[in-house]
Amino acid sequence: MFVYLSKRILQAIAVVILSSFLVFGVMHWLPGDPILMYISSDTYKTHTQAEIDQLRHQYGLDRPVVVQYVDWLGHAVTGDFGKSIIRGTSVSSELKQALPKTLYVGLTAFIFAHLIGIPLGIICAIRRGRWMDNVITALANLGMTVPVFWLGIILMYLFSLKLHWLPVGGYTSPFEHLGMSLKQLVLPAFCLALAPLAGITRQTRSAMLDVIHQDYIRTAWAKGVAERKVVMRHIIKNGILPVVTLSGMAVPMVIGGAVLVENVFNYMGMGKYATVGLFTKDYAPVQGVVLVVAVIVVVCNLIVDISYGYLDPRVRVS
Amino acid sequence: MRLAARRDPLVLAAPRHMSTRRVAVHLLLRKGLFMFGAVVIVLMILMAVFAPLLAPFAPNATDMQHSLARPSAQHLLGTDNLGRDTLSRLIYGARTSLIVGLAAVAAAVILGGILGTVAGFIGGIVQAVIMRIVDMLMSIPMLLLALTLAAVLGGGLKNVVIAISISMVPPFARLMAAQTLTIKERDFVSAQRSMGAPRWRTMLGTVMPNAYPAVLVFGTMQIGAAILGEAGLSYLGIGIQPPTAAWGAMVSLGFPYLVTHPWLSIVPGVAVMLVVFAFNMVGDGLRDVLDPRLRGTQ
Amino acid sequence: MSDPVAAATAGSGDTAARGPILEVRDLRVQFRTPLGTVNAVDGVSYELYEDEIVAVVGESGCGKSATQLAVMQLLQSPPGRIAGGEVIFEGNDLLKYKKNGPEMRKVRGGQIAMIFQEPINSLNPVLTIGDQLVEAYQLHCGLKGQTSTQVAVDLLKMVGIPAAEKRVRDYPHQFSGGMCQRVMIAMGLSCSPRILIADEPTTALDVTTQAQMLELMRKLVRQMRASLVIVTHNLGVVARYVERIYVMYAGRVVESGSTKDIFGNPRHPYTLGLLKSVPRLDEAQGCRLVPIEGMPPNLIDMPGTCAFLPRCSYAVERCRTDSWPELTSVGDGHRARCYVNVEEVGRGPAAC
Repeated sequence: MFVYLSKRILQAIAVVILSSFLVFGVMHWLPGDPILMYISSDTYKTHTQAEIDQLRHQYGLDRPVVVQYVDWLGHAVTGDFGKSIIRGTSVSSELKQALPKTLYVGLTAFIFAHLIGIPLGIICAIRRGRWMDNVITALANLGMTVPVFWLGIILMYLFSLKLHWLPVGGYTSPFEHLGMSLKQLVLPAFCLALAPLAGITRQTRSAMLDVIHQDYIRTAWAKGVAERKVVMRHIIKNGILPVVTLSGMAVPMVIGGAVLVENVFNYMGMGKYATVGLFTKDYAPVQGVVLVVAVIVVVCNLIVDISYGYLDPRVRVS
Repeated sequence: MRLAARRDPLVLAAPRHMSTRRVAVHLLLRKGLFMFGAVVIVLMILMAVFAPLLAPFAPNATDMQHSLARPSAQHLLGTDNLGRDTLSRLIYGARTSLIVGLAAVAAAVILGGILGTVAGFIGGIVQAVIMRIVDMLMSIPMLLLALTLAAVLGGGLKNVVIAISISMVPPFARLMAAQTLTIKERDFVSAQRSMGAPRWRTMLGTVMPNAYPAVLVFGTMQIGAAILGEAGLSYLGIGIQPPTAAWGAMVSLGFPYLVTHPWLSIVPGVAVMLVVFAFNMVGDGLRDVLDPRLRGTQ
Repeated sequence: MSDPVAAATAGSGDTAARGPILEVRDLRVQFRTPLGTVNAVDGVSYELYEDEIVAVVGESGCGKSATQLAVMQLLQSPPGRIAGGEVIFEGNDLLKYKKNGPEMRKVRGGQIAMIFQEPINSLNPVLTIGDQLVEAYQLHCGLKGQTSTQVAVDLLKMVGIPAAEKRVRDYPHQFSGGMCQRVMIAMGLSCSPRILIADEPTTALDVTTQAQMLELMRKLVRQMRASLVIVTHNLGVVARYVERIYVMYAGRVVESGSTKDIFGNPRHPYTLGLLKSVPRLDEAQGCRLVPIEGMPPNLIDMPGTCAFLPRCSYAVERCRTDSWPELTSVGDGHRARCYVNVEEVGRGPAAC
């Protein structure tokens, strides 16, 4: 178990470092010079070449890429993600504002998807082939095809614009005004949750079905154990293992969806922050976002792996 | 799994003269959803190929006099804010979605397949390094990665395909690595090696034929994800350059007119759903048919 | 219910003159597949008496396992279904009970127990051996003042697993195949059932372990005065241990009789074929094993004639025209389903 853990942690660290390298490298291929974009937004001032070079030097963009990377990484580890070239603001302070918004909606969606998806999947597996299974599976199949941004628009149209039940996007902290915060949470969280929910339902169903066909379930029946106990003690206890592993896959799914949802419902979470940065060729915000996202995903996967290692005796005791 | 094969009545009952492939096709044809999906895909492909013949108008032809027209006999789905015929843009949009979906997945299969097979076969440090890179790519959400790459590479269909395919390489790499590792363990590979067959030939000859069902099923499912990804990117305005018709972009353009002209945003989304659903059903059908075969042979 | 480690006086091997404790009459089991309906069990009847050991023998796909699963109502319901017949146990038709109803569940594990072929896969990987062992006992007998650990340890000792106190807390993946099968036997016998059904119990084990396992089963079953049904495709393995044999082919019983009759005087060509393909120590060196030609039949769309016809070297004209014969008596307690009833001398050193 200890070996398993330490191996996983080392792998996690390697992955994070690789991510940072990738993002940094990719961003520096961006066509379009951020300095020039900054200048063009500053139209009433004309700049001489010397001033441009001075700006470039000021932001350290004239150094070799590798040096810039090491410097950035060094700062990033201490929480300093540099400055936005367009706005001059500190990226880490902007990230600090954006992250909670993404987490608020994302975590809600993640939990909702699991709370509903896993029981649905179990029901489908136990009542395989009956109407309940067919209906839920059909809905899950449908849920996986819905484009997140389109769903957001449709729901917004229905519930905000036509029925006026819910506000049209935006974000309020739950600590400021709980009621408004929750109302604004409903639609984005639901949109984010749908695809993972559908996926989790299908995966749980599939995992439970795999278990149901195992020999040891037949042994349980052969002992005369009642259905309820067979399901709880034998089927679910085994079937939950692959579901836990796949749970890790839901995290990038939710974050990826957040990029779109934040644009539709118009609140400045990590996704929208990154999109804005990409459009304005602003390096630092995008690097910061990708690094933070990579860390989040890696940490979540690590937690998932640790949980799995604990739950499965074949890993825990060897 | 051995036991499952022995007890599987289907395996016992299959008439000896029918090859596995014929049985599979026979089963597929009877599955309603699979057939529905297959038909939709074929129709979509035909629609995309014959778009110039099918579309009543040119997709980018603006007509400011008739902008935001309601559905009529002339414009079956109305026009958008620039007077372009929605139906024609919808038909041409199929081209974008299908090309991106199929090309991106094909590229990802090839690239990821090679990477994964090499990793699985060589093992050791090479495998470790490749799998870490794959892990890294997977820890960045597909959309975010594709978004970044598309923004970096610039707009245009080609770059969107590249961006999406790179973000899809990891799952295929992992799949092929797992398949290769499983097959490597099997006795007949050792047998081939002991007979002196060179490693790469063993690799190609044994891994490819055995892994293709899993790749086929997974690949089909991923086409849907690629199409959704393309829609998301074009919604955000990254990638497909206007005025090219793309379903995601159509949804975005229709947003300001949602209250008065909701169909401008709704219809392209339904089109995306239909195509993705079709590919998923085909993938599901393939998996249902191929999986018992997989299990039976192990 | 008796204490699981009943040290009763060892029973004799004679079948009782009383009525059978289990009677299967004309059992039919079908499997629905996309390619048609498979008649896996096509009218099987047999009896089981008290305190005896019986074998059901046949190749893969002949329906021997499906028969036993049907008796216990353990068939996977799609695609399998019981299409007819009766299973009379202690005066009641088990097939009339609801599949997972309280009556059937009381019988399963408590009165009739079953163990399976792949012992490692037959144990729940996430529960300790101890937890799984006592599950049936708690259900059918109740702990009655003992702790579950005590019961588990006693059960492990009964089947000869060393260091029982420690191993009770282990998980199945820490046990070998042979040890897992011992655990299965302990689980099966924990409530002193009247019948233990063993479905290919030794097929997945190596040869030395096979003998140990059969010996263990025989010893315990004799102690408890229970009956044992061994389902196997390997006639040679069980010869030493069983008193009566049922030979099955294509879903029907084709020959039945005492071990002496089957081995000494086989009447059905299939039985003869089976015997010829089993190596014997007492035969001359260089004697060839004779396999049975052909392949097992496709169980969908069976012709009405004898199912063994394509592979039979004794077939006569009648076999081709008439339908499959009924089981007829060819001796005392010895029946065969054949028009020819081969009278070849039973295999011995001279038979090469």
